[in-house]
Amino acid sequence: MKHADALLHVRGTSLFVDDMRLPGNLLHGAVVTSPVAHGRIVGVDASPALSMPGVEMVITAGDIPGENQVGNIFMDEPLFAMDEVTFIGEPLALVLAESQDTARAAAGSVKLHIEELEAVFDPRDSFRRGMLIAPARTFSLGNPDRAWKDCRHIVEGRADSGGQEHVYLETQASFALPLEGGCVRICSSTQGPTFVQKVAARVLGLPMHRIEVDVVRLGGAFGGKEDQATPWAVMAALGTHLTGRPVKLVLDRRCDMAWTGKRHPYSSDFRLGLDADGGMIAWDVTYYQNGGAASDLSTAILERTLLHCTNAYYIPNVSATGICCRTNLPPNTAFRGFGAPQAMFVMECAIHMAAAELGVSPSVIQERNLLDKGDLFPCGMNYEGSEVRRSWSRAKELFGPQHEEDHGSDGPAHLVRGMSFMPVCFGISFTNTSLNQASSLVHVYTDGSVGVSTGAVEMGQGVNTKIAQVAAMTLGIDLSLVKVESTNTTRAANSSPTAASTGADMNGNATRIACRDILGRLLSFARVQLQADREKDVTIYCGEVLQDGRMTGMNWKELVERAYLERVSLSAQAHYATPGLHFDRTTEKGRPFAYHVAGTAVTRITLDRLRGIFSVDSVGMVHDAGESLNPVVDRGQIEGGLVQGIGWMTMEELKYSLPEGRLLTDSLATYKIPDIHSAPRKVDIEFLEPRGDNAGVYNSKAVGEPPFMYGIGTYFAVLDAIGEFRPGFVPCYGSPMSNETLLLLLEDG
Amino acid sequence: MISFILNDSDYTTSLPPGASTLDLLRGEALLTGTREGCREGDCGACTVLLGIPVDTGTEYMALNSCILPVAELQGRHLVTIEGITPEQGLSAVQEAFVDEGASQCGFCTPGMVMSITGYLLSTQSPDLEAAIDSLGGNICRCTGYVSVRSAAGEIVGRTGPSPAVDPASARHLEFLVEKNVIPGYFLGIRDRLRSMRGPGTGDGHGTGIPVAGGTDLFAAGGPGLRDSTMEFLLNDSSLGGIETADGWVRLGAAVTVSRLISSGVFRGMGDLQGSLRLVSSTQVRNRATIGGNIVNASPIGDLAIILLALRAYIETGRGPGGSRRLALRDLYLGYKELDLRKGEIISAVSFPAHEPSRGYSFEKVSMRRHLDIASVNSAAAILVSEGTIREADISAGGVAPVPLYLSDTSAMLAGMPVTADTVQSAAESAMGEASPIDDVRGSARYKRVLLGRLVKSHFLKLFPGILDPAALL
Repeated sequence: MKHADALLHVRGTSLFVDDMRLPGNLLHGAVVTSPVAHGRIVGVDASPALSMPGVEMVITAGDIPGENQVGNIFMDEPLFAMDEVTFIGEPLALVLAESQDTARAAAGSVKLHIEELEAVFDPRDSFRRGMLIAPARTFSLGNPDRAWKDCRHIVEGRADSGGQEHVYLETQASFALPLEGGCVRICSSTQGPTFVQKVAARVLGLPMHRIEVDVVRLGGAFGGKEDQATPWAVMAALGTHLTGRPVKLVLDRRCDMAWTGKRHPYSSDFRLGLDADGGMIAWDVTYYQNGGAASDLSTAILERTLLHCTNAYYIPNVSATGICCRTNLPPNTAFRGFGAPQAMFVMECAIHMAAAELGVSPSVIQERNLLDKGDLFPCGMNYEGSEVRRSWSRAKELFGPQHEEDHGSDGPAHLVRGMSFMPVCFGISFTNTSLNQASSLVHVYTDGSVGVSTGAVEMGQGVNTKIAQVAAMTLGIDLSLVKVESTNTTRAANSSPTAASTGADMNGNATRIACRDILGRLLSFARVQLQADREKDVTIYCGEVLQDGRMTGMNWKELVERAYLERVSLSAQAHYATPGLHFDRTTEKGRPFAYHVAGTAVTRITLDRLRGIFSVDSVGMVHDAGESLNPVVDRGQIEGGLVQGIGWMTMEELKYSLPEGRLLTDSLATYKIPDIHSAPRKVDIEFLEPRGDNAGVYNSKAVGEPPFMYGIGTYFAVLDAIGEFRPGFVPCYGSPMSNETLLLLLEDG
Repeated sequence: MISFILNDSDYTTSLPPGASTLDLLRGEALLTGTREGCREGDCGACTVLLGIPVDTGTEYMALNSCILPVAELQGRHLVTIEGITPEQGLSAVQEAFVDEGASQCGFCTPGMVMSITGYLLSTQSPDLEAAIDSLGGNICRCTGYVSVRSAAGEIVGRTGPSPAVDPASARHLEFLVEKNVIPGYFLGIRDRLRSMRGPGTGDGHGTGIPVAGGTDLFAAGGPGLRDSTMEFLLNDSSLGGIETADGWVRLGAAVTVSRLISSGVFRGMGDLQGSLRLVSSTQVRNRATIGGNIVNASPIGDLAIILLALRAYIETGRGPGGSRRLALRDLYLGYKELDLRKGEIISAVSFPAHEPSRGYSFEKVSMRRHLDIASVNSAAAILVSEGTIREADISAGGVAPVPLYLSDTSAMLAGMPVTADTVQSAAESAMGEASPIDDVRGSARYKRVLLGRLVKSHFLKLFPGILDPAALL
């Protein structure tokens, strides 16, 4: 069972926003943005742009008919800056012109007079100045103050993790078309069509029903188009609203990289206490999150950091504090893992440090403290599964150290091997409980073919494939009869963004309910047609109508045709709300997740001590996918997530010019993500044998984010190799472990 | 007007010669399977094939259309994803991608399909490692490449060796048609191209911007570039020769890195031949030239660094004072400043051919091993007899405003024994000669330390039995 779009993709016929044919009277947009990280706007002179032939209009804040506001959780982000600019790349104006070249040239000609102000880029600096986006939050468990006294070993340190650029291959792209009556249709490369609709309505001053948002597919997103596709889509809509003409706005790679937010860099302080046997008994951690200039999703991301502050371990006494710091970088945003990777990195750094102190391998402490069924998380939820320990054991059995060659060196003295274990336990559900709802609209057409519309956005993760499978499985028909439609706000209203790994779970469940509704009607109708009495079991299997398991001679298509003629409804709309979720932000306790996904990765690397480089030789993973709906799709998610995670931990480094705060790594020439050569040479995946029920659709489990964190293991495999020739080595913990960082670590000791 | 064959159709465009082929495809021909990912040759989403008529048939190569000027299309066969897709079903490469689940979001997929198809068109004996290397210029953010590698393996296995002697030959194309790698219309292309003139070199007066592969020029882009007058040196056959005579190798300035690799002139010279695969990606190597790498004067140009250690000379083709011959190391005067007069171009580079008694080595460390510009690179050519270094030439990039010949270090080594102490002093001397700066590829301190390590690496590689790595750490 392959990805539903595979045939289109390999032919190059799948359509992305920039591929769609648009009317000839199209206008192209280009955005004028702030060249400084913080400043007071003295003047914006658009006259040079307006005097260029082919320029139709220059739109600034003053032209906005509704509210100049694109904020999501907090209303703190204008569409166009008015008085003050707070980051490089902050939009000031939109130029509309007859061609893209003209629009971009005109945008470059707009004269900005900005009085520069002091800018802050470091989250701790921001904290000292009191520039918080929201009040600090603390999650607690047990009594950490008292627990420190019982600790035999206490390690204390700091761990920093860098940001990460999404590098979705398709840059931010959208267009807007005028519809009759002043309505606007927006086609956007967004994970959140409803959010685009809502903000466009807010900015244009229209009710939401006048804005239609349609999404066919995304050329990658990874969280980078959850909130941050919105401003560009809204600008296109605004252009259309003001000119009455279609407007297209596509960012080029450099603008996209320079202007949009990244994964949040974190700087954290930790203190870990252990008993004599290596049991972790007290954990104190403070996360300084670099939120950037506006809140975006930062507070939600920080909440997930707190929810994952102990990763896959049980620690009875915990105090975890998260501080969301405002800086003058572009607003940082969602990125696969959503704050959990940053938390897990700190946890693993502390374990590494403790292992050095105890003179044992980190895996000894890791294994000793893995979550068992019933263990309490600091958020008040119990761990309900067994997969953490089972995946560890299986990974140890399959990929663990069985041979001497896992460590040290038997070849040239400058080549040293290292390995690490990385257990992951990741909670599934939006941490904002209200977002855990989805809807599906299913139509069965009179020829038996089926169209499904949900709020899920296809961005390569295979959600449409899984939804089509759910529909086919539920209706008992062949998959080829099911088509998943574009994601459209007129067919799936008030949808949550496709995020938090929940797309297939929630939209699949909604689809299942809608299909069962239709199926119920069709089966009742079939009973009448077949004159079957109550006891008879009528079902549809492989497109055939069966009675007590036997063929009736009636097939799906005939049943549908007859049902239509007898005026049976062949459509259904269903809503799904993930059950059992609650979280109280005043007590910071509740049950925020439907279930957890767990797994364990074993990473092996070879370090070249002389050149200060390393290669990832193999990663073996045991992963809990429940009863995988689609193993091909799930494997792809695991492999892709792993390699993204390795990139975050190793070569992906954002560099800024200081004191200006300009992103220096603003192109694929300078910001390096893994290529086919640097990806691990050997990747093995075993799906953990499922045990028990969970809230995923058809007993499957969400898969999008958890594998990202397997990549963290690479960092610690490198440290393990260094530990081979420097026993007890403890670095200043900081990612990425770039070649530069590594060589200077080796040089300086 | 520029005329060529686009997939199966004759095509004429009035775009200026310097316009990007990607813009032609997406904006004018409305073929949207070729995607814009970065517009500077660093992602491969816009990969196309260009078929160039040669004596034995048609030579196809994968190129980044974003940095390919349309002037180069004249009289040639431009192939996009739409041009290799059969009317019914899938090509063999497409099928393998589907079978292995090697596409997720699908944005980069056509580029990958084109790269592997280009690889199969360029070889009679496909193998997995080379097939994977052909994807070195294609970035994918979704798959993690595991399934892509499996797809490459499947394709190599399913295609197998071609009975043809020459990949440009009609026989090879027939083989690939049989194997469903390319559609049948490819077989008629050679004849159709005969009636078209080939691409010229431009105005021929030397007044335009001299462009070789243009991989740096078009990646940098800039307003007005597409409308500039240009002279396309890649099509000047007098600049394309590779000759070995009298103990010297002479390479025309417009020889591409790919041709340099296939010529094998570096074969036997330590790891130099293999190191050429660290120069960017297949797509870029198919365009980037030796002369371009030298004249671009990037302080970290891989070829310039290798050629410095080979004691290369350059020849200039034309200029007010006629042609000149000067040592490559004397060409560089300062950052991007060359001892070239206005209008003078580099026509050839020559260096002493492989000497069996001399050891050669190239070292490069970048943020990412492949498809990246070095933080520091270095080359060495060392002649040793009876345990004593007779001659040494070491160069280094990324540590000075120019590609640097380490003259003091090289001179110091002559007459020294091959010992750990010698290597240690060479590394220190090199670090002393370097004057790196902080930039996006690393801090000055890092580059200096790294240079010392790379100098040691040369020796460790060249004298593995003599030097103990532990003593050099």
